[in-house]
Amino acid sequence: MNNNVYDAIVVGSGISGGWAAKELTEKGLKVLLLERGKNVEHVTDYKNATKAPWDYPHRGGRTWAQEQLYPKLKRDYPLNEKNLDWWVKDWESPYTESRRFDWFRGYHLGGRSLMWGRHSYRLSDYDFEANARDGIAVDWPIRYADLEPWYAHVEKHAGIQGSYENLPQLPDSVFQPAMPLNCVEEKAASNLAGAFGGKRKIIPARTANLTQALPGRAPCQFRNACWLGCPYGAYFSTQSSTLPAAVATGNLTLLTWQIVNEITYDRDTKRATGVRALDAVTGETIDFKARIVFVCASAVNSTWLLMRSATDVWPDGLGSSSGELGHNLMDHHLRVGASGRMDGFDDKDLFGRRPGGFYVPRYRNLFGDKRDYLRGFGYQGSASRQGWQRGIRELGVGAEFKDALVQPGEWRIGSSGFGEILPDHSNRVSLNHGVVDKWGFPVINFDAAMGENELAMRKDMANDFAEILEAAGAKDVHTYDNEFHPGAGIHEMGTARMGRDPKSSVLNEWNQVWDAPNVFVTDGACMTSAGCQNPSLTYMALTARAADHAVAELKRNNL
Amino acid sequence: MSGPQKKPTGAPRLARRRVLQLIAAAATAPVFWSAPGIATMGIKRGPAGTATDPDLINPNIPWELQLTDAERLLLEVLCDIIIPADEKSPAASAIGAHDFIDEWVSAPYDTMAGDLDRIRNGLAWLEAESARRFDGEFAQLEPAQQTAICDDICHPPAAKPEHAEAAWFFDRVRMLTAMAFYTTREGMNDVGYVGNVPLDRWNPPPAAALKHVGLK
Ligand SMILES: Cc1cc2nc3c(=O)[nH]c(=O)nc-3n(C[C@H](O)[C@H](O)[C@H](O)COP(=O)(O)OP(=O)(O)OC[C@H]3O[C@@H](n4cnc5c(N)ncnc54)[C@H](O)[C@@H]3O)c2cc1C
Ligand code: SF4
Repeated sequence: MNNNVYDAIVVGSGISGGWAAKELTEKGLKVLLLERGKNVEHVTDYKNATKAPWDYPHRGGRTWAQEQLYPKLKRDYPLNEKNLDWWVKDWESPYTESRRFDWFRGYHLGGRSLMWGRHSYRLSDYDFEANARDGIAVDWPIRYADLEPWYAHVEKHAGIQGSYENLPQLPDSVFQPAMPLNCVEEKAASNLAGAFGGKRKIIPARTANLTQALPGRAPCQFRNACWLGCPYGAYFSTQSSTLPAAVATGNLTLLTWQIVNEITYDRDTKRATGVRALDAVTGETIDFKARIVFVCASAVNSTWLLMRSATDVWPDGLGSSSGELGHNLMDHHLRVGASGRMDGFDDKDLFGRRPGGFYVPRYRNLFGDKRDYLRGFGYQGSASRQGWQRGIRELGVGAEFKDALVQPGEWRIGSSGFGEILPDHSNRVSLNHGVVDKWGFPVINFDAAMGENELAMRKDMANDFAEILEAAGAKDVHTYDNEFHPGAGIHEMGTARMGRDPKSSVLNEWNQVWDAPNVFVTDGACMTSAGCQNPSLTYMALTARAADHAVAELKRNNL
Repeated sequence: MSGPQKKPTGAPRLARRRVLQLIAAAATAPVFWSAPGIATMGIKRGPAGTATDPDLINPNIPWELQLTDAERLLLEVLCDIIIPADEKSPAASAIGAHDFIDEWVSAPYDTMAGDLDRIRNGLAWLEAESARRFDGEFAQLEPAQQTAICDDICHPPAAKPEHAEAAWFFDRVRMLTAMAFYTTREGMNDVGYVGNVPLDRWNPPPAAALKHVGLK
């Protein structure tokens, strides 16, 4: 057999690609995993994971010089000194904007599984049925029951901590024991229980951090230093979880520095034959062949790849026959909420650094509630004591100032909403042939904006949390809305959506491209609607489900 | 130091520190992890000409420092009045708080645009006030005399109208001094920060300690 022939090729090694590699290798396929960026070795390449805060010359912040180098990354917190190496260099991989889009990417082994926030929530039928109910976009081709076993499947391996709450709009996962709320959050939660008919709840955040060991992985040590990489393998990443499992099968070949830039397509068989990659080290172009291709390069990059493929048949790329490829770009909108002070806990202090917080599941437009906008939002937040940073003006100078500052400050509690963005055909990405990246490839152009539905929702997102805080007993409550531009939620979705009809969707119910059934797209591109839950857990479940279907179809000789 | 002050609330400082020491005692050196054999997987290589990130390890100051020697000297004295040495940690100048403030006010960032003027004017006011009230340079005054001036300006809400601007200046220096100090090893040690210590096993502190800090 030729060196470059495999059963399956997986493009991208982030959250989705890692799962594709694990599932396909465990089912016995010879899998080639292609990653465009560098290798990041588990543990040994987490260079900053054990540094002390004072070891950073700018204490983890950013410098003026960095801001000049990273005009896009600087738009939000990802431009920082601690894990800068894991963010895409603006000057190597530029993108253009008809309307502003904040795009935060990681091109290296593991993708953004290394830097993600790890919040993990299932969607429910309120989400899967939403488009059909509202008469918006197209209907999801699946329902919760289709995905439920696959959620359970991925959760057991990834390790999601959380509490069983039995909420219809936010189904429970298979949980490891929850990281509990702290005393102030607990008090807020119990004060809140009697208000708003019990509909607004503060529950422990559900995150992919272990509270119990899994094979090869230790439980979390409560350092809240996850985005430096975890030396204990205590949070889910490709490196800690899916890659070791794939490697253990002996069926995986992993190549880094391979920029996949085309899915090769045979117009006679109507199947992909493999992929074409540019070796970023040698500059060589290599063709790899396989029976199936899993496209997991993250939503926008997977779409970029489809747009560059099979252009001899469809000028706008593989999957464009529907007219929807690149359209319906979604994200979650945030940077809006409220905060306040909680009195009465001055004798209590924080212990350890929990890498999560609390969550308020969606309650708007559910269970009889009706707003002048569609869908809803959840909140992520936490309560903590202020440190010396508070610099209270009455503190004076000298020994007493010093003594006062080493005392913890007041307890604050706050959160940001995470709101659903509706699928909208006019929100889109396209290829910009006028601008090329470092390797000569045309770049992505973004053309998307917040709609009226989202803007109306933001008013509730600020006001509701102020109400929640007041009901929870907080004082000195302030709302905020720090302006949001699409992308800053870092949950890009929807540009190759699933649907029931090849005329209005790019993928079928098994994430197969309608026009090339041996090509599966299982990252955020496939999302038909966004829900308001952090989406990555859903990508994991969809990927595992698609992999299972792909192998079954291969066995039936259907692909 | 006199002047209006709010008594800090919270658990007694020593008690809290004792709890933190307990955590430190539970921490031991070896890192627990076992990575199944992926160490052999990747090839470490990079495309020719890949740009590297700015050097984060060797700090350099890419802009010109603006304060004069005299201003820096005065700032140094002021920093140490704000955060003096005690049995647990050094004074602010020992960790270079005045250097930090010089770098800060010299920066080209929009957010710091007003700081150079504010601090320069404030330092000039401090000298003028020392000359007016005690006929000397601030740095040479008796501690009680320095204190007397600082008392007038260390609490902005209570400052007399003629001291309003100086109080604002002092507030800024105090914030920057604290920022410089408490982000160093010495300052974080003062706060009782235990830090990023590897644990071979999660040993929760004794029930009595948890009870003491109100966690159980
Ligand atoms: C700071 C931050 C916080 C976040 N918090 C959360 C959260 O709390 N919960 C949540 O659910 N989500 C969160 N996310 C989002 C989450 O990281 C993404 O949804 C998830 O990583 C997407 O997985 P993916 O596999 O599709 O893409 P990625 O993880 O981005 O991986 C894509 C991979 O494909 C590679 N690739 C791209 N193009 C090519 C190509 N042409 N050829 C070969 N390889 C290619 C990339 O280099 C990368 O390794 C967060 C993200 C960030 C950055
Ligand atoms: S907080 Fe927990 S999961 Fe995160 S890096 Fe630390 S030990 Fe690992």
